[in-house]
Amino acid sequence: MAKSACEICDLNASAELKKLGDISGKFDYTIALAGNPNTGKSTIFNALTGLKQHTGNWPGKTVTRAEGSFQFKDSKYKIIDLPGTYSLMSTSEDEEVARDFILFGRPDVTVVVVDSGRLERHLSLVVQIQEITNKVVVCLNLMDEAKRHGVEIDVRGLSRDLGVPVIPTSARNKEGISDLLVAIDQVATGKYIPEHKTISGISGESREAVQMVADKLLSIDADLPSPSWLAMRLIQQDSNIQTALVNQTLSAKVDSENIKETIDLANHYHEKLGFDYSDNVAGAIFAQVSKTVKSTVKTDTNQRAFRVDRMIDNVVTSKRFGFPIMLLMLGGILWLTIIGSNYPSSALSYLLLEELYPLLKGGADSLNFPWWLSGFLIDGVYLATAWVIAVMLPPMAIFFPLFTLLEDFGYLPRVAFNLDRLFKGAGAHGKQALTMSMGFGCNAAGVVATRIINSPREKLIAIITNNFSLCNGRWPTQILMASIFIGALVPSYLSHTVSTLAVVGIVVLGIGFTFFTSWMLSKTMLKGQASFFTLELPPYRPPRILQTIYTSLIDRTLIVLWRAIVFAAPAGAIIWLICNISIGDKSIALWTIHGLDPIGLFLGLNGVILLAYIVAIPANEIVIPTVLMLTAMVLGDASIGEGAGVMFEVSDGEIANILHMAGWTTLTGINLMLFSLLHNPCSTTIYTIYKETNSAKWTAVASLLPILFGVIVCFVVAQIWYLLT
Amino acid sequence: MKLSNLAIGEKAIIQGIERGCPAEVHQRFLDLGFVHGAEIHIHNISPLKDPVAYSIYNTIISLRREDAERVLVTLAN
Repeated sequence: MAKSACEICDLNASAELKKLGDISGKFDYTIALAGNPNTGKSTIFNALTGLKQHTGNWPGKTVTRAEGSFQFKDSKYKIIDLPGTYSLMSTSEDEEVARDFILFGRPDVTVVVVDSGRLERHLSLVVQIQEITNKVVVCLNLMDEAKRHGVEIDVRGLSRDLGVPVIPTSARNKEGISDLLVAIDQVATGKYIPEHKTISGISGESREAVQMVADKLLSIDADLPSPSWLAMRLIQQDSNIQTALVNQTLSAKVDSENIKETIDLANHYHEKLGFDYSDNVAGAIFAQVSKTVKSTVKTDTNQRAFRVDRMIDNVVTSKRFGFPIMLLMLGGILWLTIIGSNYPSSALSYLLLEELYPLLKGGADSLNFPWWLSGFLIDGVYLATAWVIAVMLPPMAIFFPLFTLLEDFGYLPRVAFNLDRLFKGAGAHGKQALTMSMGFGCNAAGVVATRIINSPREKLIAIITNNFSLCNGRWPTQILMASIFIGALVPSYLSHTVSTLAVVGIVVLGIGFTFFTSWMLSKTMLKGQASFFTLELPPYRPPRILQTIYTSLIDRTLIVLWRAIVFAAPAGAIIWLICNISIGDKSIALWTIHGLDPIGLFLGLNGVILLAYIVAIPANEIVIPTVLMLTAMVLGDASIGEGAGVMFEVSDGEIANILHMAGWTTLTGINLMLFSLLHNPCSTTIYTIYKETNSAKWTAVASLLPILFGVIVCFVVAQIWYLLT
Repeated sequence: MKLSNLAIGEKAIIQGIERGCPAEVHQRFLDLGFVHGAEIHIHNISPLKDPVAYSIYNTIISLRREDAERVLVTLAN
């Protein structure tokens, strides 16, 4: 069937865009997406591929390389989202990934996303990339914001000056994406051939050095791609480039013999010019960009937007209000989470535990399941999983979107700015303030968030100490223990306040341990210079509420919940089995509890608590139900509970009765609170730590250190208690 | 003078990075636009006095005091 003129018109682009998500297969073209941090690169990536990579108003979101694909017209494209970088000259891992991909990966098009409002800075990356490849498309993103800020850009003039297609977009509003597709298509298919450009204006001896080394390279292979970029990298002693030349990766004509002289020459210039060389190159790049910007950009000298940002900053980072606002924000979020999740949590537990559970049990009976099969599957696996969902899902579904909204607005980097001085004192990074706060929601998510810390030493400190942030899963334990054992110590009109203060005290103690452990690690296992600290404070941006809720649900809540379920189901099975398999006259659980009791009492706890913490490694949420179930079993009173291995729910008052009957004292309550703060991370977090650090050693340190603290602290408290009573 | 001695409200022009600075840090500074001739001023100061946020090339970048000491500047008029 013939296509209409509109359908085949280059301008009718979005109709031909097919977002293919992350499916793999054969591709016609490869696109690299480069750009400074915080330019909306990920938003562009999502708009093209239909993937929902989380984007935050926070520099350095894309640390690992994300890949996606889309189809446009008749071609299939693979697109690689490179880490956001300010430049391509540094030795940092991000920049190495970005520059090596552009050079060695030979993408058919490199799209450089820049912030239209800040071209003076962002075009310097464009200039550097043009030095490597001519197949560049510049995406002038955040056009809406630039307009609001009174920045006017002569797009055609800029395109002429740079010699590449320049496409204005505002990806957040999905504007300009179709034009961008057309430009990508034209450069990829060779319909438009962008100009070859090199950095001009490098002064004196440095220019001569680049020229000499480049000439030498060309004398070995006249077709070598981007010779002056290679020359510049060789003078900077980039070992990846040296290796690539020696191994003939870049050209078959170059080998370890004939390149030696060139590398020696480059090394000679490196010695001779020293810092002057890098100063000259960077100076030339910025000078060239300034010239371009001067002729193509008109800026409202008034800079209203900057003034608004400064006004907000003068309040939220001020001496007087900075800290109170921070505490208010975090406290507010936690309060909303705890209060707000009560209703959905009880609704979920009514649905899953009181409605669905008997149905499943009845169903199993009518199908003539043997008692052990229905017990194993429904009382064990189902009940534990259902419990985790009911207790875990609502608080996470509230905490993460709220946290993400603050992130989107741009407030979180200000928190890091405010707190950096304290973290510096502990040998850590200011951004740890954020990963720590995130840990109050979920430690696994907090560990993932440490990706924003770009120095490995400080990142490890943040990972290892994240468990000292009391996560959502542990709040119910704390609140219950505080109200049963501590609130009960004072007259009833004070009990609510006192038990709340006790929980706050535990949180503060956790923060104390975070600082202490960071300090201790930076003095011992992770000794080293505090690395260079730079933190960009991004412009404030109005948060996109619906999108934030959506992505934070998908990105954080569901992923963490899924992992927890995967770990909780087998835990349920194990809990049921140890309660129902007997050796001699006692179940395995009872044997273990009796065996652990002496150690437990020594620590001011008991065997039930220790066993509960062993079997509930998958999720802190099931500690209390497991403790209750095991306690009922130990008491052996058939009127309490639902039977061996079956978790059950009763009111707080009844819980208090059961625990008192089992001989719990105020000390048990206090030490359970302490132990709940100071014990190994849940298995989801341990797994996440392993994935982030890729090291069994650091995973072991992060898992065992808190337990060591817990044992010491509980022991000391118990001994003091025994002395005084 | 050193960038760390800049007062709020003053505008300065960057002269360069102190020579004793480690090569990696030197390059990071250049990447962030701390090059000869760049204009810089204080955006705001954190509640505990350190770090300080500077406005340079339309971006706000905060530096710790010991790092700001490595940047040499002159006051603009």
